[in-house]
Amino acid sequence: MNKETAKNVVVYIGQRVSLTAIALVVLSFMTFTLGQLVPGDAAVVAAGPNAGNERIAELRVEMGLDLPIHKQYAIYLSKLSRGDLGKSWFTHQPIWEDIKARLPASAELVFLAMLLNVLISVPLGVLAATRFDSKTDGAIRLIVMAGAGIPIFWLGLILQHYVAGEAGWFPIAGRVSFEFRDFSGSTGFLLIDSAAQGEWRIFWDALNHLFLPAITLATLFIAVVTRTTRSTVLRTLQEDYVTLARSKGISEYQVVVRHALRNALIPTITIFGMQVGWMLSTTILVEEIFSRPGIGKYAVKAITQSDIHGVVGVVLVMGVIFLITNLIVDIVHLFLNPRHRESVQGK
Amino acid sequence: MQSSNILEVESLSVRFGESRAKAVDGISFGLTKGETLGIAGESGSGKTASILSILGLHQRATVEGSAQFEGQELIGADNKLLNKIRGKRIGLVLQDPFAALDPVKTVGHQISEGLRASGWSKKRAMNHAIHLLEEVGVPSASQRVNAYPHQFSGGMRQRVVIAMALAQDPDILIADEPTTALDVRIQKQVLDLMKQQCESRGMSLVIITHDLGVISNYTDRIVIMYAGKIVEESSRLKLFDQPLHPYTQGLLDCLPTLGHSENEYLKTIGGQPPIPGKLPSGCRYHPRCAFTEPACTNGNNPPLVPVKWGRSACIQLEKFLKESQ
Amino acid sequence: MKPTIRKFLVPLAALLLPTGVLAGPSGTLVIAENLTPENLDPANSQNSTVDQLMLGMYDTLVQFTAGETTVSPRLATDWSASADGLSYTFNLRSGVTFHDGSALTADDVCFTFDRNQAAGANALTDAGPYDSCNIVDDHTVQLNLSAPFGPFVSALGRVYIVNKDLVEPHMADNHARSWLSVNEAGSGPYVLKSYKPDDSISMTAYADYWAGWDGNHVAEVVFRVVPEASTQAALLKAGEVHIAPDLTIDDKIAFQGKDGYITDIGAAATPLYFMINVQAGGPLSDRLFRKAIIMAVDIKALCDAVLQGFCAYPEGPMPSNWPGHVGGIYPEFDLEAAKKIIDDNGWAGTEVNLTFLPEEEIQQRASEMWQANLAKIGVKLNATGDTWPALYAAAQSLDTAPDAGGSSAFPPFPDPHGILYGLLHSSKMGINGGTNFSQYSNPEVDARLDKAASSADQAERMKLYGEVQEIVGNDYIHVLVAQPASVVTLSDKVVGYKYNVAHHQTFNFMDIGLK
Ligand SMILES: Nc1ncnc2c1ncn2[C@@H]1O[C@H](COP(=O)(O)OP(=O)(O)O)[C@@H](O)[C@H]1O
Ligand code: SF4
Ligand SMILES: [Mg+2]
Repeated sequence: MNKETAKNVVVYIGQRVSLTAIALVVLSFMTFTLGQLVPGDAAVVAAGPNAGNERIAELRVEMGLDLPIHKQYAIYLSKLSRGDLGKSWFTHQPIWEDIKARLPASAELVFLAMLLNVLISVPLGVLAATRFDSKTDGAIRLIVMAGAGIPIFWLGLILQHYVAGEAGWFPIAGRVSFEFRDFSGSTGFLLIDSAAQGEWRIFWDALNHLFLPAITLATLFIAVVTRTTRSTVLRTLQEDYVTLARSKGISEYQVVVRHALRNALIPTITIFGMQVGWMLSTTILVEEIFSRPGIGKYAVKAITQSDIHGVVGVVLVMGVIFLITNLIVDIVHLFLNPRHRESVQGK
Repeated sequence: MQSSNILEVESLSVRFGESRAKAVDGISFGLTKGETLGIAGESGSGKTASILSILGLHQRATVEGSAQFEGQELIGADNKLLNKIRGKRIGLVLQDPFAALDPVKTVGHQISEGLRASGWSKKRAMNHAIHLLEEVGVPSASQRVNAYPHQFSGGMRQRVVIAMALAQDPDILIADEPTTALDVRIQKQVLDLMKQQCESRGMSLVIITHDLGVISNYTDRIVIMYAGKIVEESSRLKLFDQPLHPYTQGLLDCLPTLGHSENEYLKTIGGQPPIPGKLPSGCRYHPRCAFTEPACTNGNNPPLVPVKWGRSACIQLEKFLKESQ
Repeated sequence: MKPTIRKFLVPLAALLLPTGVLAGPSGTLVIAENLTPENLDPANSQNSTVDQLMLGMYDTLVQFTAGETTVSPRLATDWSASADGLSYTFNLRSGVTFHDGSALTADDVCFTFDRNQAAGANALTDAGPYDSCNIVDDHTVQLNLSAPFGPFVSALGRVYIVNKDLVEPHMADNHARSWLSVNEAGSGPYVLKSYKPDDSISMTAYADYWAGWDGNHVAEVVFRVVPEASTQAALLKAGEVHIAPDLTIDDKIAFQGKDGYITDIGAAATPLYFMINVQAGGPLSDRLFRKAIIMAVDIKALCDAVLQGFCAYPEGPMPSNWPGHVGGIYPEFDLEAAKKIIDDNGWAGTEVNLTFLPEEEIQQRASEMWQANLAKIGVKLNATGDTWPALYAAAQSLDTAPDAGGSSAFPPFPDPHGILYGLLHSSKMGINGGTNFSQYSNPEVDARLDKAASSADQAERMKLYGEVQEIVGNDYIHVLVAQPASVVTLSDKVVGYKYNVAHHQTFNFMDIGLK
């Protein structure tokens, strides 16, 4: 990328960020409004069972629920503009703090699952495509079919029971072993904190605890990407430019990696990008089985407790994550796809 | 086999998939050093399948017969051997310059890739790529070497593809319909370029086309294919003057002749060529032939019979020979 | 990768070493918990997940100890009520200190009550007409009521006393709710060590606890949040937790009698009701129709088949182990007799809408069973699963109230008032914002409930509650569908665990030790 291109890319990313910021405000409004339509009253939940009508009415005033919806939203927006997501009605903590306490565990899980996904699905897809119609291809297709068909919950229980419980190869549940339970760090990411403090035993232990949950979470996604990588590589292998690359007398490995795969990566990266959000919303299933804290559980709790600020907070944070992954995908695309780079340059 | 031919193809057959139908059915031809050979025939007649098979580039084809480069057998050879021939001894140009270049690699990378694989330094290979681009007529080559394919016009891309094929200084350049996807104006430039490069390098050239007109000025010898078979082989002059096979005549009749406006409706041969696996009995051309006799419809496809200046596969060869004299 | 588990076992084993020679608490007790406490605020003590932690970190004036259905002293050594029943005087134990070392005095007690009142805390929900608190002297407090309330002292078992000095500075922020949600200001036997939502909560023994540490006690209690029942079973098997309260019924049976494990079956009182809306109109307003559909609930089969016998057969509006319970109220399960009533009155084809909470598996199963049985007598039950807030909201208007609603009661102290008032009193009708989803209003019943609530005469109260149960039994307004027992599976290293009916799903920390 030359200097001019770099500048344009920065401008382009700026545009993308501001567009998404607008989208987030719209999103917050929609979530806020939808929250009002859901039956059930946050004040009732907050008051607990056996609370009388007066107490609920009091709480409603306290929580601002007596105001008309547009006023509630206006108040919310003005707080939001100051970076205040409000307080949870059930933890009584700033929602941002709640999210900060729970997101790292989910993020670590998604990160490792995504890493496994990338490391497994792409080579597997390429292998299947280059061995098209062979036994290897058949075996991979079978694995993919199974991976796509197994319910995550069931897979998690099976892995936990046999691989962790019976065989004892991995921990059964939790984020870290009992002996390290008092460990904490500044980021909340166990892997980062332990590495930063040079606590490699804890790092390894946390990684160990992540492995089965990550495999459980990743399986479906690996199946999806393996399948699409296989078919895109099959398609790029048919391209004239691959035939011509071969006609130069370079090795088959170079043909596949430099040309067939390199082009197939462009749509694959897009899928990876979409999968991050999808994965994040699936973590709760895995986290329940492996007793890991996470953002999904908080979201569900906020929804069932009609804690609208909590719900909107999570939605916004998810939106930001979505924006960031999209941006990353976009930047990767800028590197992978000269055409895209040029269209940005042209702006 | 004793032969002065640099490339000798013998009984080459190509089949696709499970079906036993042959897309190429036992063709034989030779190519001498420095010669320009044209292979012509309607689309689907097996031209591409033949030449890709020779280089082992048809991934899912079953190939039988023989193709020897300087006496070295290519059919059934492993990639290691083939990679010594591919690019280095035989260069390839394909029909569609829009599909022939990898969209995500610079043209310089693609031109120099083969050289780099043979151990050239990056700098040297790139310099050579610039030199080649200049040679094939790409302006401001030293900058364009870093451009991506989509930044070139169709004609320029085909020049890049030619530069790519020439990069390792091969002995044979095979061009599969190199001008079909190009503007009429540019077709001639590209053909001239190839011809001139072959002459200056002493390289043999194989030009494949479905349009006899394209190659009428460029080839020494022409092979006509129909439904996976060679039906006629002739020198260029003889072919246009005295076509022996009714199919060749049909192809020639379809050419626009001087004095006709370009917009004028062109004659075509009636009917469709058969597809592999659904071949008619007897002469494969008989359903479309203007001279079909009952004898044409039975038995096997007529064999190629040598004449003084070539070969032809028609049971009425004698009759046509006489008539044309 | 096996070492992961061994690595864990070694230090745990070290912690578990017998401590015969050493005085004081030792060992770490690990308890699996399927829910995460929403917060640690004593104001929220009606929530059993919160309550179980409060029991460790805080003290109350009076307490129900495990196995008892009457209150006993804790911070209050003794108490007395004024003749008019409008004020109660408590003498406080001296020498009690909070975890910061400061003394617990009457000032802290009154601060606690005032704060709960101001915050609208559910901790005071059951304390009836509580009005105000006076400091008599450092170790004497007087609690005043606006009307006499019989079970007042019993209702104080979940009012956890907070350290005024620590809490007061945070009062400006939502009555210190935010601060107390993640901090602790108690005087209880255990001190909060760490609180990781959805992960774990840990408490360590408070060395200066007023009751002392003689006997076998644990030095640390860790709650591990383990939502999945099967994971709890796996962890129990692996020795990573000592107590797994939330196993599936199948796992509970599998662990029962197995070497190395103890199964504690406690007579619980968490009755599940299907309440029939008597104001729904149509046949539902006819007590005979309601009788017929109640006769279609196979209470015994539900207990035997779904709860696998970990239950009692309910016979009337109150759990059979509850003080004041009267049996033999409900009609026997009898589909033939029920069908006859339906047919005789031409009610066949009637549709009844039930809203239940599918979160509780027993509700789901009971609904299915009821539906199947009602189909046999010609009544169509449309069962819809929903959330508690949604059901509560729907019940507030007769237009939206379902014909029947499923709801479990979690009475906070063993007294009939804790169940019957909310279930039957007209002021607690759904349309009045209460949990009487039967929308049942009967002056005869109201009068008796009110009288019993304000009386301090236990014999008289029980008589009145007995009459109430007979009356509503005749009106066929609900059915107590299931009375599940508390089944807790423990490692046999645990000694002293006992179920506490006044603190469902909690642990009697001070009695528990490790072998
Ligand atoms: N990869 C392939 N798989 C199956 N059939 C093919 C494949 N490539 C070519 N064919 C068939 O082989 C025959 C010859 O094709 P081709 O060599 O491309 O013809 P031409 O180059 O003369 O137009 C056609 O019938 C075509 O359909
Ligand atoms: S053999 Fe018969 S049908 Fe075939 S080309 Fe000759 S004349 Fe025509
Ligand atoms: Mg072709």
